[in-house]
Amino acid sequence: MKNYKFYLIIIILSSFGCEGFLDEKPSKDLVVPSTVQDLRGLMDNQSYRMNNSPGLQLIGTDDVWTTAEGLLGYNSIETQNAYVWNEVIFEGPNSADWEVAYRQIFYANVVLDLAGDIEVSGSDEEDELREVKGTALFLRGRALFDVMEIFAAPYSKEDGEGLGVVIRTVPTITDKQTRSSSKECYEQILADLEEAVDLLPPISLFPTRPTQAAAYGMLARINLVIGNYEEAFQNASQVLNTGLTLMEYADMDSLRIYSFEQFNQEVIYHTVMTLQSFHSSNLTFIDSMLIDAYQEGDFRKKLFYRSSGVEGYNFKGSYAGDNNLFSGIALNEIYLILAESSVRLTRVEEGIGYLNHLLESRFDPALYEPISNSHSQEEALEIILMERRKELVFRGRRWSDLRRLNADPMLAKTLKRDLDGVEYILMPQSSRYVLPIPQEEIELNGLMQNQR
Amino acid sequence: MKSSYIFLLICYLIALGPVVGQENPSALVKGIVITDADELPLPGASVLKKGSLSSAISDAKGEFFLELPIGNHVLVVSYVGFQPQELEITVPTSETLQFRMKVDDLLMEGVEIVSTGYQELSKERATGSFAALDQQLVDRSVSTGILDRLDNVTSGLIFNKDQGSAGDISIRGTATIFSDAQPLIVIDNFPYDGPIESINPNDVERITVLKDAAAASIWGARAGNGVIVITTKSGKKGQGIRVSFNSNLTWIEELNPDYVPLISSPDMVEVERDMFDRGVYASRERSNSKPLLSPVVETLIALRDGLIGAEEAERQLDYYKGHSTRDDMAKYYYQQALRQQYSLGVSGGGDYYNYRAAVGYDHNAAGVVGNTDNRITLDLQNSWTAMDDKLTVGLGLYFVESQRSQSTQLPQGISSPYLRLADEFGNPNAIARQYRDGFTTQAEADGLVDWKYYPLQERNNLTNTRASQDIRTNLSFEYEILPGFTVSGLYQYWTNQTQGWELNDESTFYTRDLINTFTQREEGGLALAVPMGAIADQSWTKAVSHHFRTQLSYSNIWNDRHEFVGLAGFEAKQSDTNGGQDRYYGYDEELAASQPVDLANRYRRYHNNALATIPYGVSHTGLADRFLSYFANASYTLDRKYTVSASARKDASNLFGVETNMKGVPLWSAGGSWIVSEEDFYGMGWLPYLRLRATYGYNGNINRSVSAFTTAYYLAGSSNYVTGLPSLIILNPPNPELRWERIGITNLGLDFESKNARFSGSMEYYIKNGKDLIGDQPFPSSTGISQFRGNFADTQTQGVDLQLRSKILDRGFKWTTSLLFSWVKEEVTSYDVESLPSSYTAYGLGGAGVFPPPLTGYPLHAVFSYEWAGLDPDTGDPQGISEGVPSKDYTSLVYFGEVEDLVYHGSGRPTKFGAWMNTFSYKGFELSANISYRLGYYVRKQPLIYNNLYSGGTIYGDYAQRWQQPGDENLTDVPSFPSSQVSNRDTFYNRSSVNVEKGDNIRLQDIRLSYSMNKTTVWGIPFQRLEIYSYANNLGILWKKSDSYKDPDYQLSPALRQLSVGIRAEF
Repeated sequence: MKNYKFYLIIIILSSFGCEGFLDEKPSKDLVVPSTVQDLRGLMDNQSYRMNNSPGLQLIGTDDVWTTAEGLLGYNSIETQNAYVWNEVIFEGPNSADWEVAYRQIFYANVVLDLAGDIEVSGSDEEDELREVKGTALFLRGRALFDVMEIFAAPYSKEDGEGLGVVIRTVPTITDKQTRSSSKECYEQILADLEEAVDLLPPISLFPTRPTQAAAYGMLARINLVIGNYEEAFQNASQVLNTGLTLMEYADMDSLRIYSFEQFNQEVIYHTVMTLQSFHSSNLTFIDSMLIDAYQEGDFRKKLFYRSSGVEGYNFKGSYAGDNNLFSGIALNEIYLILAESSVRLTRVEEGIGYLNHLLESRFDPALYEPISNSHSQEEALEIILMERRKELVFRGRRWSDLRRLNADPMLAKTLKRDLDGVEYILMPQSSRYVLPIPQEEIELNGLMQNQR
Repeated sequence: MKSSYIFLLICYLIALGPVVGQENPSALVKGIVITDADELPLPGASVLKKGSLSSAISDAKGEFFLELPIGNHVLVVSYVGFQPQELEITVPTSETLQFRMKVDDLLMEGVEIVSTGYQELSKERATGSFAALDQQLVDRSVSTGILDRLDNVTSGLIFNKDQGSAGDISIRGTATIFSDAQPLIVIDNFPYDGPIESINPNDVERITVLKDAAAASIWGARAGNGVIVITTKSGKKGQGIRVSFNSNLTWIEELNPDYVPLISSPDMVEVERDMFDRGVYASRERSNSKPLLSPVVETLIALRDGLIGAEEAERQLDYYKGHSTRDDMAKYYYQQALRQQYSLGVSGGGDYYNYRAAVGYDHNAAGVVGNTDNRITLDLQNSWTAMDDKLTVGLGLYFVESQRSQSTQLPQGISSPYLRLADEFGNPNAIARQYRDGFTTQAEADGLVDWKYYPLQERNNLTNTRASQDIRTNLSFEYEILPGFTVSGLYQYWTNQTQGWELNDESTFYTRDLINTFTQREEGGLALAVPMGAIADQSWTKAVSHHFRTQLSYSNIWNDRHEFVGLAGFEAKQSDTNGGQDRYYGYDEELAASQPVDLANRYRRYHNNALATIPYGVSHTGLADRFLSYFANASYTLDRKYTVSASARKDASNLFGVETNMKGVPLWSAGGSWIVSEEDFYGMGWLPYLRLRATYGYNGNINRSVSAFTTAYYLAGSSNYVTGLPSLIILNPPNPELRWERIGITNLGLDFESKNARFSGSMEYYIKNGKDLIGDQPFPSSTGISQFRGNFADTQTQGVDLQLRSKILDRGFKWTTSLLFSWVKEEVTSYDVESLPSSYTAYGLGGAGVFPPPLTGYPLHAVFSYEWAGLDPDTGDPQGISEGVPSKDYTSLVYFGEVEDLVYHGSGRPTKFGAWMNTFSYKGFELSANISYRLGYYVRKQPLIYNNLYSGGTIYGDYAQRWQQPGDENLTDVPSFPSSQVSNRDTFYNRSSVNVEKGDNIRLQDIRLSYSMNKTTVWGIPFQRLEIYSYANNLGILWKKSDSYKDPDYQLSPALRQLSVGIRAEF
């Protein structure tokens, strides 16, 4: 009797007493990321905005205008500040655009950090791991570039020591970093993207995941911004080698509420701008000069815009297929980079050729007339830049273009706003082209604030 | 793990050792010591054979065994506070000797038995800090839930009102920041994981609250917030059959929807007219998403567009001005709630078998029409003794079935104060919700289903039920292996299952809205992506836990002056919870059939053409808890005067990502007590009882939200609206330095009682030092996170708990009074980082605050505000102070100032609180009234948010007091209505010092009136005892410091008055 009891208790105890007892996961959906799939999951996270880019700067460009009522209706004080280029922009200590970009960098750093510890079995997993590493490098480079475009002064080769932003390459959060120089930031951006080119796959199942072409496209975009025209041209040419083709706008239905499909054939890499209320407001109007610049037979006017009656036109032509504004890499931007960099490299004829190839797909064949390739370099550049503006409207490029083109007195532009009888002016190369660093970074990280 | 086996092996080897035989003819005598009044077992009573050294001490169940030679003897049982009992016996005897101990009126009021969940002790021998609620106090108030009954009768325990969650309890302040701050709840020896609503108060015998390290450290890593030990009723040995019945009815007053003032309908109409003229609605009017515009704005649009004339427009506006939606709410939704409670129990006990069987039924009709909940509880407790009382086996079963049904949902999306829910005949009115009236009318004409919302039609017509079954089974054995040595084992199986069922049929707005939203415009007409028919959501959870404990205890008394009680054991817990949710579209209730929908592809939303997937409505959860603990405690008493105690415990758990060597935490405590009045030199005859106590030790806290590794969780593909790919979210950056939270507690106590128990009480002083508390440290977002959770904070809480009781009159008319007073001071002693000023000013709004970040040198719940410089006399704008001068740069004021410049008010939680209860009785009548007080804290007023008006909402009633013209600044502090949105203006005003005031208040909490009779007082009644009682709760505020609040503890919804009547009978 006694022995029986004793054994019974020991049996009960043993059932609890194995080493694995305390190793049970407290919640099934929790993981310590340790497989390639886990890392892939971190990079695929749309809800945490891995495929987002900044969205506020658009309100400061000359592509848009609104009425006093429209401005009030945005119900966003930072948009109201950014519209008239106020000294103070953000209502609180944070900025969504800053936060999202650095979250992308953090996720990329976590992935790159963990990738070193993962043991892969088989070549499929090895390939997958390489691609995920490439994705993380791509994301880190792209996100840092996004921050530079908003929170650092435009890059100039003469003044590379100007202030850039914070470079972070490790996930350790206690590793304190201050602002690096502009030059160091671009070196970091280009190094990450160039390394990514070698790791990324030529094709991917989803345009939300970067490919080699996406990395080349991003490099082309960045090299154009910092004036490396030869590299921009080379990178863009690499994209063309993948055999992508332009859409024929003649085949598109302009009666649809949103003219384009998400993931359409021109999309190389999908990102959208972090949503702001002004993105989809019907009181956000397109600059009337821009509207007037579309010639007869240009389908873009019908596909990009919806007439809102007397005041003007609203935008409806996002490559994201809905009210989200597409800001990723698409083939039309690549053609424009090829055209501009060719002309900048004094290959005017070649540049006009690329432009004509693009325009041909945008026009009614009956009304299309190719642009003459006998223009001077200056004239050709002006034509190409105008076409760039008409083609890449609401794609998040205009703010960046204004910043870089203002360095050239020939291309510089003064922006004006008229609101309730008050005139606001943004001079070329104004310090207001650089948004203030979020106050939280100043207080907690001791960063130097941008002077506006 | 291995060491535990060895330990247990030793225990059992001792346990199974041969019993040494006796040579002289003698026999074992068995007895039980109980209190005469309550029949509670009295552990630790000393049993002595008169004129010899043979003695025994009663165990936790009040039982004792004594080896005596054959023959006649006299046994003397004595216990401090009771009259000694003598009994002549003849050995051998098979009878269980019963000693009913009568309270020594000259001394103590009675003895309190405290239960730690591991053992039962007389409070007399316990060194730690306990608050005990006996049966009478548990039964004093009337409620469906058990925890409510602790309010205002438990020393050191307070219900917090600052976080807005009901039942948020602190025992002796808060010693944690982000870990679970609620006390551990133990029911019948084991921590209870289920919903506390499952426990029927009628089945509860008593409650012990463990407050200091010595009392609670036996619960180790989960005891940092104190422990509430609930002991349920059971049959008593030698009791005879007893039937008890209790029933009561409670009425709760109807909610007054006007309790929180809101802008009046005429004001709102004027506000909207003004904003319309300023073009505020122009953008929304033209938005692609067709957002809702209020009826007033629609009228003004119609007037502007010439669709109606000015006269008609004015008529319509007057119509809106003349009505308040809240009147409709009162008329159609709120009602007096009624709660019914019935309980019937049978208990009894003989020499070998004790039992209790009880059934309880609760039916509550809620304060909203059509919503009810029910609870049935079934309680069966059995215990058997055998082998000369050496073996006790217990089997208990507690079963609860509860059901909640909500057939009414309060109207949703009501953003105007003048909407009419019914027409003049009381028929349901259509209300535009989400989208503009014109848009929904057109949509219906275009072939969609009706897109209007009829709140009254849905009243009483919804199907939303939730049922749960909770089963708790206990199996225990206790065996005395050697005199004084007892080995015991306890096992508990618990399971809780819930099933939820929510059916939104085609007539509900929810379903019609979803069908319409996903109606696709296709060539040739419309196509439905969400089928017609109901949408049904089914949810379930199933939790199962196994608890196992084994312990060896030893108690002995020798030479009549040494007493030792000790135990050591091992405990394991395994708990798993799984759950899920499913959704069915196109559900047909009659056929129980549903239809598939395409959840993978994205569809255009009808109103704005944005792409979206049909809501998936499926989710899964799986949680697991594992605990292994080793524990020991012992106490030794010398000469019944000096007691020392010590305890130790080690806990290990499966907390995620904690390094293996950190999975366990050792905690310990030590203490001592001294009955000064027993000393020969003690000469204070007026105070015949005086005892000093002191303890020190550590408790712990558990935090499930942190990890030493990079932790992430999986998001189902459904949340990834672009690609539908599963993805991961990082929860935690790695934190290799993660440690367990520990709380060091010092407790000093003094118990005393005057002659004739006229005046008695206790006073305790404690210091709690929280070490390595988990806190959030703000990080700049360039790190990729905004805050990081780690062991950042140290806190210190000190306080005093005072309990006084007095018998003021003790003749035919009795008057007793008892006073509870607690003082608590919490301070953050170290916290690495300072946050931005705005983080500190966010907390303090009564009922809806957020937890502030800790700041060194201030309480954990500190109320801060911005310095107020009055209203601008020209504009009525609020003004702050920046660099010594009035400023209206609100963004700088709110975010970019210095923390040192903030105004510090004080704690947001009461620092002094307690209750004063007076009880009067005469013959069978008893009247008791409890007055509670909460002092020394600050509350922020309801916010006034003008920006809400700009985004289409309403505003708090202070709007009527706003600044309107120069000169008003002398009459009011409420800012003017700004003509455009101004950054942080509302935030500054709402968090400024003008909006913080003292919350101090005294209220008449409750009154209880009862009449009871029993067989001895009223001849011929068929009851042992019969009590008729009435109880009124939440009677109102007697005094408050500030007139700015209706009730500082209930800003968002009132404390509703309750009245109960009931009857309790025992046969």
